[in-house]
Amino acid sequence: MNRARTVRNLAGSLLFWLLSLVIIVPVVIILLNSIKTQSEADIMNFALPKSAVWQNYAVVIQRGKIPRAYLNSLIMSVSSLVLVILSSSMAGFVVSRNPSRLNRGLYTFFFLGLIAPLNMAPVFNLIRSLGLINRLFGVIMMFTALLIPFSLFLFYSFMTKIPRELDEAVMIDGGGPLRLFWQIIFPLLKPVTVTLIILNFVNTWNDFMLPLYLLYDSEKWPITLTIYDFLGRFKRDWSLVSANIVLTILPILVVYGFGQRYIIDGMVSGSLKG
Amino acid sequence: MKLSRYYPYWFVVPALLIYVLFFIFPSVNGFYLAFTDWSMARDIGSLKFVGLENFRIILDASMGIRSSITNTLYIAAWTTVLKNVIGLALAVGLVRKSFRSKNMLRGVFFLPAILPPLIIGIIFTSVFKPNNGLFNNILVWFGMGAFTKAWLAETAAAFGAIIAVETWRQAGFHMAIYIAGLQVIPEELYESADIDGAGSWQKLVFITIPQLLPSLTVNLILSLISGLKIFEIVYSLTNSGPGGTTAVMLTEVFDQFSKGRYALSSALGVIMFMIVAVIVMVVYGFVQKKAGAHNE
Amino acid sequence: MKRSVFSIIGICLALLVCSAAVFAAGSQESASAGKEVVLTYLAASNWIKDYEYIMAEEFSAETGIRIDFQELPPDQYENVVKLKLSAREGVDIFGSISGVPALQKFQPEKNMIDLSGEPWVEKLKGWATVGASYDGRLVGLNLWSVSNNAIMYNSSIFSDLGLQVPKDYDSFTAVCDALLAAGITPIYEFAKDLWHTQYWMETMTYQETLRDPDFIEKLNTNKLKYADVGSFLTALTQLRDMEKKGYFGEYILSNTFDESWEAMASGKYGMIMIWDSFGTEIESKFGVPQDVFKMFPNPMAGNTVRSTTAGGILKVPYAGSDHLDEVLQYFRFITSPERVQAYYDNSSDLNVPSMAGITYSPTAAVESLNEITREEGIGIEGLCLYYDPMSLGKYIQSMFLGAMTPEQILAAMDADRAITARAAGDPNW
Repeated sequence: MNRARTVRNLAGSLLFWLLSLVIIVPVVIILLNSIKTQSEADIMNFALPKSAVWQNYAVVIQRGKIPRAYLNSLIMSVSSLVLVILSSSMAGFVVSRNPSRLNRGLYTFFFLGLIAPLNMAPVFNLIRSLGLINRLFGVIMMFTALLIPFSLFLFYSFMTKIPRELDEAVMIDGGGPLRLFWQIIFPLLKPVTVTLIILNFVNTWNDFMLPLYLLYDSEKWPITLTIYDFLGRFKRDWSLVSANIVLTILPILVVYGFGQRYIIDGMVSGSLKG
Repeated sequence: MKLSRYYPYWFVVPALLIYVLFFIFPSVNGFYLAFTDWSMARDIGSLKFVGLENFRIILDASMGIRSSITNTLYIAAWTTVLKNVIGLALAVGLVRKSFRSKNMLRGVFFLPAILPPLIIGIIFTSVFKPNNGLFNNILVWFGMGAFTKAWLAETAAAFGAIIAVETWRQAGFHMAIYIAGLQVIPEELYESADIDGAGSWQKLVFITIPQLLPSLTVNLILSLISGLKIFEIVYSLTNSGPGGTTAVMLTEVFDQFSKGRYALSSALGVIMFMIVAVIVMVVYGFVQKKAGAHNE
Repeated sequence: MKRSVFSIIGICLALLVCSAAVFAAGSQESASAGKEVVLTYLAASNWIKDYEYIMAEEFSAETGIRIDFQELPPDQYENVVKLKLSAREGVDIFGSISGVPALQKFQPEKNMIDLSGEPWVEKLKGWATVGASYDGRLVGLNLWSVSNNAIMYNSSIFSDLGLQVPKDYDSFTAVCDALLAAGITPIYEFAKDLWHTQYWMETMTYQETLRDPDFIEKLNTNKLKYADVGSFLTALTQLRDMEKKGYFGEYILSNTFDESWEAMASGKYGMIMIWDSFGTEIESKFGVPQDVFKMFPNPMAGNTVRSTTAGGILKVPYAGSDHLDEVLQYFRFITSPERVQAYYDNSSDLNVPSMAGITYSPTAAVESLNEITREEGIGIEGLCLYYDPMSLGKYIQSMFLGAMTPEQILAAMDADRAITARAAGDPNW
């Protein structure tokens, strides 16, 4: 009986590892390509490079202004992250705890943000008339606004799970709403906060449309835009593109590696009433 | 009274301000522009109101924009089903306690969700190349050489490729939500089912799925929205080809925008918003009703 | 009550500090950059030759004026430039393809200045002036070469099989049949990249212009429709036949441009519709000598003349720039004879120079064209307002799939053009 179960488990994990190849293979190919010569990389396959061309990375880093671009991406991602987490956790708290008609209306209102497509031309006009064009701050505010709906929902549903008795205890002690939220509730939100930090970090890091339209100096560009130095219509140097891809996704892989185990925990919120 | 004192409305104000100013305002602005003659030749200060003219052009069959709407629905339907079926299957497999390497595998399956979609499209364009493309090479390797084809050059196969890649990208994300949902199902339910002698299939249908309804709702809504708003994958994989047959709503919005027909692009955005809103609301209402009926 | 007022202030302060920190991070950069003059130069990727970076560095060392090259994603390029021009900021110089249709997209009346008074103008060759002019004003600097779009063939394959250079469509199909029989795919065509396949039709333009000198004028004033141009219809019909006969091989709709050098270098393909410096590019990438690759004009629809581009990529000064003087200074700097010569020497894909007095070695392709005919003129891509190669590429894909006929393609092109023209406020539509 036990033996049969062990065999079944082994077969099961083998099956899942085989399935995971579907994910791993394309990623490994990119890694391999990034150290191939141009003509080797043109044919994307598993063949090992004749000799590792680390030179590709040197070229990319030099031509693509990579260090500066990393810093810009970091500033934009982290700042919008802080703003999103602060503002949407507070909003989600009140909307979930006080189901007044106004708050239910607000909930639907924020929900629209998940559905409506972004229209770049009015966005450009708005940012310009606010004097935020060519400022990282303008992009940060746009990122924040775009991420608020999803974050608010995750916070909202997570919070419905935290017992209200906690609130009442604080109220009896005479604590105000701020103390209640920051000292009691917010620390309990840790799993969902970490999840949102990762997902939002990834989203802002991967976006290139907003910086492309809203920032004029290439000095302010994020790392994702540097790929286009190598990805023209008339020229695709796959080895350099791959090296650039690796450099672009490296930070998200690191963030993901650290926070990965929290993601599932944070997603517990998804199992609540949406 | 008491509620708004402890849960004061001003907590919502920062989020609301940012959201209204930077998202709602330009969106409403775009709504208005859909009824004007705005184009690259018109200064935004001197726009004329043209009523429903832009919508007339869009719905004129010869423009070929209508097919992009049906294409989007087709892709959204398939990807929603596949993401959820595969996501759920992965979750059920990777939630078992006896599974040693499950955490690592979860990590691997979730990985595509964090890669830039444009880059995913670029990678798979090369995977689906007809000669020497990885996918055809694998088919040949498994002795299925007869099934090789130019995947992105035939309409049906190109749809298949888009749906497959979009599912590849997101299945792990939905898996994570399902795992979370599975973890909170009380163990006792399964134990009592065991006592009643229920098989694993029965346990899945009568315990797991009903208990998962809340995560199912979230997954359905999120996968529907991402399916209806699909852009980068289509754009970088097929570029709406061959012959524009795989165009979706957002690629058309982008296409009109690129041609300097800003008003037309905005009008298409408005139509898209309404379609997505109606579908999401209907599905949401339906699932909520089911969930409510089940809870009673 | 009091407490919550304090809290509001507290939260607002926190948010403010947060945003101020971000602001500071942003403004610090611009403060340090504010001392020197920086010219913002927008271009799509690959529009800036490596040697221009070197010239810009020399310029900066000499004058202290820095050039900020911004290479944008090609498919976003026009949108970004249009929006920045409409905002009247963020641009000093921008790139544009030569020719009226491309320049028209950026509203020359409003956004471009007249450069005719500049010292380097007299050195420009005629075609380089035409391609950079709009409404009688010279609006950009052309440092690129003009190129012929024609059919390039692998001459060693031709001589191995004893094939003659075709002179008309019939002898062309005979050559294709012979190549097919020898197990060689006659033509490498990459229809997945929408911009390319249309050249089979586009290269018909000059013979129409020879027949009717007002041909382009009539198209641009809406007196003539694409649907009425006989050679366009014939070319598309012949293109469809060629595809049916398998001259493009199996994978025409999957083929992309980035594999074209390898395709031609491999000897698996006999011909390609391309520009005349392509042989040099094959040589530098795959080592097959460029003199293997020769050319003949597109023989479809009875055509016997050569078709050219309107020139390459122009550098256009933006009329609203705060630094126009510095822009003109930069142009004068890079147009000194030594620098232009070095520029051409270092850019292997450039061919016939845009300025007089610059030496270059013509490719085998250009020489072989010269032997056939010297008669050449610009195609509609460089002449016809609102011509949209990408849409045509999409329609040709449909034609290969059997979903569109050549007649329907031309009708759809006319309909598209009407919408664009009306959106541009053109009184002729």
